[in-house]
Amino acid sequence: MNKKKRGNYTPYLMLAPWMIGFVLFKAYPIVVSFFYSLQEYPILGNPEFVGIQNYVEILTADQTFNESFAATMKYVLIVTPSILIVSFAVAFVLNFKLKGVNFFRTMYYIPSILGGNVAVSILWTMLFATDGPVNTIIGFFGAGPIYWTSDPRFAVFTLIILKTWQFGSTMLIFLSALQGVSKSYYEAASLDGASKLRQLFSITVPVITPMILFNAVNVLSKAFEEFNSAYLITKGGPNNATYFLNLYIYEQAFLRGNYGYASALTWILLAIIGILTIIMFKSTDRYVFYND
Amino acid sequence: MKMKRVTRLLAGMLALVMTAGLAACGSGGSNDSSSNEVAEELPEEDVSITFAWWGSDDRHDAMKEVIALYEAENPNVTIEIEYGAWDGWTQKNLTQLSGQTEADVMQVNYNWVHSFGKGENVYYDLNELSAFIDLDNWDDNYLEAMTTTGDGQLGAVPHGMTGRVQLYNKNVFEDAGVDFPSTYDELIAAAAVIGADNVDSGTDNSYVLMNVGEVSTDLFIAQLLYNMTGEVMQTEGTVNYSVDQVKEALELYKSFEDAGAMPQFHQEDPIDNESNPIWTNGRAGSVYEWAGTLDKYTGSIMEAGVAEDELSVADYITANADDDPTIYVKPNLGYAVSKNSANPEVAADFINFMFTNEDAVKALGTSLGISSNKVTFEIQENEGMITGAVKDAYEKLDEYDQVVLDPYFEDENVRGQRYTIIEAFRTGKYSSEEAAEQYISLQQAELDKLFN
Repeated sequence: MNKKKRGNYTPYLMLAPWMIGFVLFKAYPIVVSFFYSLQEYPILGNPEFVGIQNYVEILTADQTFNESFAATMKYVLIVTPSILIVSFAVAFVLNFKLKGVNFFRTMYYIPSILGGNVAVSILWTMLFATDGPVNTIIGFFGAGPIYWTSDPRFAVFTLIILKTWQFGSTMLIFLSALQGVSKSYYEAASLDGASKLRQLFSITVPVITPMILFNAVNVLSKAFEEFNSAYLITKGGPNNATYFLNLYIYEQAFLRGNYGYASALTWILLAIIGILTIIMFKSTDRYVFYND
Repeated sequence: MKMKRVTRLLAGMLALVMTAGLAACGSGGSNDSSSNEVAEELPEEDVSITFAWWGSDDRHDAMKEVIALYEAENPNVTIEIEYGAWDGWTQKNLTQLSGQTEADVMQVNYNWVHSFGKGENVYYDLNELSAFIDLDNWDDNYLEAMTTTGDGQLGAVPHGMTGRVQLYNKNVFEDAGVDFPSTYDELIAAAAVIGADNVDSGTDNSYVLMNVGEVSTDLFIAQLLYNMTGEVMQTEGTVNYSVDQVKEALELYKSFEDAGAMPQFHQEDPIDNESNPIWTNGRAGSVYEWAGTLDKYTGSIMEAGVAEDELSVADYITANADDDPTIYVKPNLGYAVSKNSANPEVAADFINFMFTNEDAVKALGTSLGISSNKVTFEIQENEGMITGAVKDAYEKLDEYDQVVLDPYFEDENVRGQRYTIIEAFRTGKYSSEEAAEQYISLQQAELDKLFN
């Protein structure tokens, strides 16, 4: 009887640390930020309820938001397919039984561990400097130099290349998915005379579409969260070409001290991510193959 | 039934946690220092205070030495430290103030005193601590610069005043066989020699002068506008310039860039501090920097092998040789005490110690520039600490009439708009006309938010 009683409490006690953490550090800030978004809330002053004024100002009169939104969307819409394609291609190659394949798997994963930290940002700044190695290589082909971080046309691509370089986690998920595709499919296809390319697009890709969807949603939401590279390498410039929404939110809240406005920006960002995610999930019937 | 009890228990726990979270996360920004009673004497029991500052390595070492001196003289006091580089320090201080976790003693920037509370003091009113800080050691006008207009409280005491000067590397001009320019025409003429081999990519280019970072570019253009119009950027929440005036100043600035006198936007190095390689490699004839922290720039280039006597402060560049330049100055930094400090008397006493203890002043040297505190200045002068480019810089400032920068000139929202517009103009996104219009209207919109 006593054992049974203890057993009833155990799951809740085990869940309690997570629940407390979730309520304190996730649910509470999310809920309270919505109330902040309806206020003019100077960081060191008293909040004043202003209704939807912050939202109206952002959506109708804030030129910086327009530029920041455009920069963010450009980044997300290019970086998401870039990472998916590169990570799938590398996973596909690393799925073959090659000599030293484990070494290459580790090497390709390392950039993901490094992330967008300060040291990587300095490395990137040096690589893409006007007289840096990247322009030197381009120079061999008679082109350039390209002002990678100071030309508004190229700055965002410098950050896209950095993010794409960190494809390791996505690659690992693809790799595990590829290893889960039954060999019998390929054997049957070979007997029918299907080429390797045909097998790739008619067997491999359809079978792993759930993982493609999973990776796509993951990469998309993480791309919206991008902050470090824009903060450390380009400082949001030039001309706001890399002034991603997260950077704008951070500066509004912690540099300019406008909590209410920053909270409204956060909710707009949440809405954008939510809409895109819903679109992706709603469209899954057309291309995701669930083997059930 | 048992399940219900458990659920209720958990719900209760969560509610408790949430309520605690709500209480903990409240901004509580309206804490009033007047509610704290100031003791008449320093405590004799063991106390601990925290001191936070930003700066470079030389300042960190000097500050630690001062702290050790104070702790030796006051064995019952322990001083915890928080320090780092300037980058991100504004955000750190602002966030700490919001969460009431700020240090007892804080190094603060001039505009913070005014902007953070929009004219109301967010730090301890130091007038209330005058028994522990000798405020008579400052002239009234220096303290006035740190007094908030809304409530007339003294938010901080200034270390000293500072203004922008032109620190130059004589080698660059001697090698080129030209003098440092004193007029805009001479600046362009000097560029034709010093930058004769310049290329569009900026690789290995040499320049007559360089503004390191957006702060410097902004201040240089502000100086051009002040020289041209005789009016300061803003007074009491109003931008004082017309579109035509700003347009003319921007076009003048662009003409310097186009002539190769200073780098164009894409030719700049991303390192926007004293380690900028164009400066340290001796490819910039001069930098436009604060007199108070000139040591950083002399130090970085001397490390690269340039002798101290090759560095000096040049005359300001004006339209005509006989024009007197107009000079902006501001408190370089100040010291404030937290409204939430449990030991404001000790905090104030420590600040007083930094300014009046001979060994402490010697330890700090001129890493913070020349002090406007009479006692500190006397020690700096008597000990022969004011030398080299820093001495030249303050002597240069003293040659001219000075105007104290409006505290909202450096408000993050206000200057953020200027930075955006200047960058858009320099990269060709906006014409001079478009940039001038926005330079005024966007700044004015931000000032209106502060003043209305």
